Amino acid sequence: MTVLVVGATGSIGKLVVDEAIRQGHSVRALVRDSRKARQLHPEARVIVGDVTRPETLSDAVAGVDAIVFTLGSDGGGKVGAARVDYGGVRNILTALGSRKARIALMTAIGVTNRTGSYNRSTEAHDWKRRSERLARASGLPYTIVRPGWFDYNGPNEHQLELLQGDKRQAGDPSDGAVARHELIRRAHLRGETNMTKVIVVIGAGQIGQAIARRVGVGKHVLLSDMRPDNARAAAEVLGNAGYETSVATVDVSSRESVHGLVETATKLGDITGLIHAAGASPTQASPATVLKVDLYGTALVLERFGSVIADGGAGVVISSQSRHRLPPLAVEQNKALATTPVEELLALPFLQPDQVKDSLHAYQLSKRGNSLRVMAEAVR
Amino acid sequence: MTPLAKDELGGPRGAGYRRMIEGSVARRAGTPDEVGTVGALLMGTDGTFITGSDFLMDGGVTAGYWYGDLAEVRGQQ
Repeated sequence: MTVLVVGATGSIGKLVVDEAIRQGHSVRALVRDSRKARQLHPEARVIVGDVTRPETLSDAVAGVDAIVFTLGSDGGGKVGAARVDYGGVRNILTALGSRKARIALMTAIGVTNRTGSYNRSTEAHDWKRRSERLARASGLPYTIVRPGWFDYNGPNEHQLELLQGDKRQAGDPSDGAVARHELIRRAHLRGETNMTKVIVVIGAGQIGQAIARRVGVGKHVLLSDMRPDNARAAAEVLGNAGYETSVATVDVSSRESVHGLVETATKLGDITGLIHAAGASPTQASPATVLKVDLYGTALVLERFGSVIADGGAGVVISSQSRHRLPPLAVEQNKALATTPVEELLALPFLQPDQVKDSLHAYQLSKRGNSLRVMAEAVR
Repeated sequence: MTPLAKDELGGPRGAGYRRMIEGSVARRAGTPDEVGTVGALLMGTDGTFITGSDFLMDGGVTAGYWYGDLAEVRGQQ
């Protein structure tokens, strides 16, 4: 994802930048002063802008998938709280407009305490609380974090205690404490669990749809097919039944195409399910095409989606009863079909034209391979 | 029955496939929804102890092919 960090040079913002880069995201750091950006991770893309000046923010929000707010007015008093803590969130969300992005907003413990002396002198609670309202009203998926007191790094303070509401308001660390780096690490995890769950269907035919109807409730169903019309037709049927859908075109025999599908799917959310129901039948295709689509294509899909599927996710590959009519293969051949690297699979000696009788034989070998590939994938 | 299966029934091996369906234990083709039910079990919370597995659902065709009345089909392939 492309992640914009607002407040990137702050003590928490810097840690957010580091962690987001460590997790493989492309990170943009919004900074007011480019000289201050030198302290940031070298892989962060620095964007100079000021949250209090809306005209400086369009580059920062262009094409972002997520925005992490860790900004703070840093002792600017009432004016600073209104302009930065609230106005900064408002200006960034206004710059984003109707585009979609996930929002993580850090405010502070005690923001619901309006009457304490701290809030009376700074109005910081009031403006941070109001900024939370902007996140809630945005219609975007959001996570609001009200961290406890920082820098209590004792050995027993390195776990996160999640409290609902904002009830403990002694105004000191007895309300709750958190180590800064723990906050960042867990905040990212929390954010991911709130993401849209995506079911990817490859081959948007009858079987793919039948499974998607059963497992896609409350999730996003990405319907992909070799033929765009098939994907669109399936999306219309599922859409009319109340499912949230989108469509993509994919050729499973092309590595580039499968990579593209993975990218499309990961942008939609967490991939929690894969339904692979695409295939070429022996009557529809030559032995070479059957092997390329049914054997290589399935191995490729498992390799790519196996690497990105969410913890606890599941995949199903639709094979064929036909493989059960193929006599048993040798143990070494089974192992070769199960574990040979994807790009070397079609070079196996027993898959060469002089060894494969016809399309049906190619189909049965491919489908036997699918079953073995699935087994190996479970322990990859 | 799916479009792919229908292609097979209309193809060069169509007669053999028809004999397989007629001679199977279920005496009919399966439906996408029946496969959907198994898919949902495998992908849902009830299926979390199942992994790396292989499920045959064919109305008894394979049983008949190897050890039952469909042995004649085997001889022709």
